[in-house]
Amino acid sequence: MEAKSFLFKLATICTSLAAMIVVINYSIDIYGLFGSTSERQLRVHVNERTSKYLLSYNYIPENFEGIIVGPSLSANLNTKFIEDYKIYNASIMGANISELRFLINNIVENGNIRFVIVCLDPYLTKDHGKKSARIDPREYYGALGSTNLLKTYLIRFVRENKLFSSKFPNDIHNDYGFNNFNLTMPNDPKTMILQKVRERSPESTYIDPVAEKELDETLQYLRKKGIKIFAYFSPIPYQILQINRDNYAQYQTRMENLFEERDILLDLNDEKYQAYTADFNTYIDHGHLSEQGQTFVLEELKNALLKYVTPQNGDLSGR
Amino acid sequence: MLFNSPVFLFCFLPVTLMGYFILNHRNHPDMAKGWLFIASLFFYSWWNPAYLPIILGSMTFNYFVGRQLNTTNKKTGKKTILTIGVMANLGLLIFFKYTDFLIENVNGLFASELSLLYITLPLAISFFTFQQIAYLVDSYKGLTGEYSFFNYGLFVSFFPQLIAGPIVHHSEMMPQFYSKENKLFSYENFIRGIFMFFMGLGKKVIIADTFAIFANYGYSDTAGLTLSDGWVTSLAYAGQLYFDFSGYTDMAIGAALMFNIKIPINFNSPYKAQSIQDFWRRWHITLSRFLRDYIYIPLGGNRNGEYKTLSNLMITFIIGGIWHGAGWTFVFWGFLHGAALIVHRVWQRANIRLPKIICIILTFNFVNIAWIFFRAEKWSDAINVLSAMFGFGTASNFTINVITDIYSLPIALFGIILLFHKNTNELLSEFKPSKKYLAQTVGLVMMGLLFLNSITANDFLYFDF
Repeated sequence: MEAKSFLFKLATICTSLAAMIVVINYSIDIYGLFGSTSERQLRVHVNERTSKYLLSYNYIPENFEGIIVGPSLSANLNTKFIEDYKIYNASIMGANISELRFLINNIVENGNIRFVIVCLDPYLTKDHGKKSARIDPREYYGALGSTNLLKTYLIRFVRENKLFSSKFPNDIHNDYGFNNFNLTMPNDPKTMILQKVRERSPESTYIDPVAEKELDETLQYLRKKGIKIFAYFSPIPYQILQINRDNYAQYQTRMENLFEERDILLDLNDEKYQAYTADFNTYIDHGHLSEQGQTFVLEELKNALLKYVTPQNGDLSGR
Repeated sequence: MLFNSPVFLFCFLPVTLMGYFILNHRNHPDMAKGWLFIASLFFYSWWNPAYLPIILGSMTFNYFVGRQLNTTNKKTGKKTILTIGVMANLGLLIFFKYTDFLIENVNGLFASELSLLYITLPLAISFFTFQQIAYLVDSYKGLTGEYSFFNYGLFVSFFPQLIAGPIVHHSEMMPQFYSKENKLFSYENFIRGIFMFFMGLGKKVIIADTFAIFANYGYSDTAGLTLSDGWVTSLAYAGQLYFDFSGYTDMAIGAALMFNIKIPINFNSPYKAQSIQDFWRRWHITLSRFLRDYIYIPLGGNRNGEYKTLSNLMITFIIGGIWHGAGWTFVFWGFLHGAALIVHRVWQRANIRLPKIICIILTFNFVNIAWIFFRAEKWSDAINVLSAMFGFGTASNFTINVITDIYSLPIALFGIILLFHKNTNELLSEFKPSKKYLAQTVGLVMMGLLFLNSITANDFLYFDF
């Protein structure tokens, strides 16, 4: 073969292959970036950070009127149960406010959401900055062909065909962003809570000043956009809270200072909820919610929403 | 501008290539060289235009000093000019690279409180300074010719080798810039360049960046490493450094080849080395050549008895260590290699032979352990990794925590296999325009583009030196 012919063939084959890959990925559009998603039910298959970040461009703003944001403490709330509203759970395992801001900004800028629910837990503000490179605007183009996309296809295939169900259960995520990680987590709340109490090692209530500022800026941004803010202090096992009450009270006060009167702030650690927070069955470990805990939180959120936001019963056209 | 960036691949490289060959085709060879020179400076200043006056000043100074050396006949006068030239180059390097290191040491020694200057290291200063010192020494010896400023500037700034080498010699570059044959576009060289470039890109973005995940994780918390973690961390870094740096070199060789310029190889399967001497003939070959020709031999080489030879070796490698970075860990890394070369020389004299495989294992393990001091940011990190590797760590069990992404494991294993396969120079020498190589090149290009469009890209490690 002549070198000239080699070059011509190389250019032709590579260009054709690249174009074919782009067209295939564009038409599959697993993150709903390139077309209407109103008839689609998209969910996370793997890599929650990148997936939810990419879903925040189009799928979430197009299909939901509200979102919940927070770390893992709120990631396993199945918002589908609040039937009066379409709420996407944009919480991310292990995320801080710096990372969640990327999603919030995208969703607000690309849609017309009515309310945001913030799950307040010290984890949200204990540090700042991106914890990995997985939330990156370049991932948008990665959706046309990247290693992350290949991995997503692979895990989707594994999940849908139930190949390693113990590690990759098919029903772990739904199209509302619910992450049912309880399926793969140990469930022994009593031992874990009592161990924390015995060791007197509650979660740190440290607030990173930059993260606090970022949360404040995010709340101001939402108010400026006319979006109703709800926030709740995520329920902490009563027994653990008892050994850390003073520190937690200080944390709560500083957080409360970030909210205005027009915002709705729920304290799910209030004494009136003791029946839930003191019950080991509300949790699966030292803090993450069990199904019983999720129901309790979702009920409280639903009641607050019904009080302040008129339901549109799935009709999002008037937003 | 990174070789592994879309702006380089899809804008800079095609535009520069087209401009260069169009100007040559229209019979404007000087303009073509000028275009390449300007493009190279643009490539350099992409990171930070503030560095441009430094490299331009350095090139201008050395060009005129070189001319003076070529025109002066008196030996004493030439020696004075050479001394001034070399001192000025070293002064520039020391100022930018070692000032804060020196201040820290003065503060430590004399309990003084001199403020650090926090000088930002201009990109590639170590490379272009060494390259130009070699040029001055050769001019002193009468080995250089009458070059125009554009040709000289191009020799120093030619973008494929500017940032991280290979450290090229004027005698291997200048004739190529003058060659009439090289001014014509060559399909043969172009496809060979593409093949080499994408092999390098694959080494960098697929393999080195995968090893980097494990190595960075391990070095981020060295105190908590288990025994297995210690080994995975150190081996991952050995893999990362080789694939990163040799990948960069392959890309440099490939990009240069597209312009019909052949730059020297810098790696030749170094982890197959059977002795530490053999290792330095295979690793960063052009630096080894520079250290040999411009430090070891001027110090006396092996001409003044055994003791002097051994001390020359040690001095050369300590200088090599500190060239890599301003820190005592780099000095110690150089010392370790100097010591190993001394032991090797003594061993050779004893004429004791070991099986080949034992030689390779011993050499590789020594190199791997020495890399720990090269990579560690603090002494304590190096000690922690070493302690973990030999079971003296705080968590001396066999749990592996540093492999956080099991999906990357097959790539890392593939990288290990590649270490013992034919290297890229061998593969390039076998390359011919056939269906087999067409399929391989398509695979390389597609994989390269896929990883390029993924969030794995890191800077090249040797940009820091």
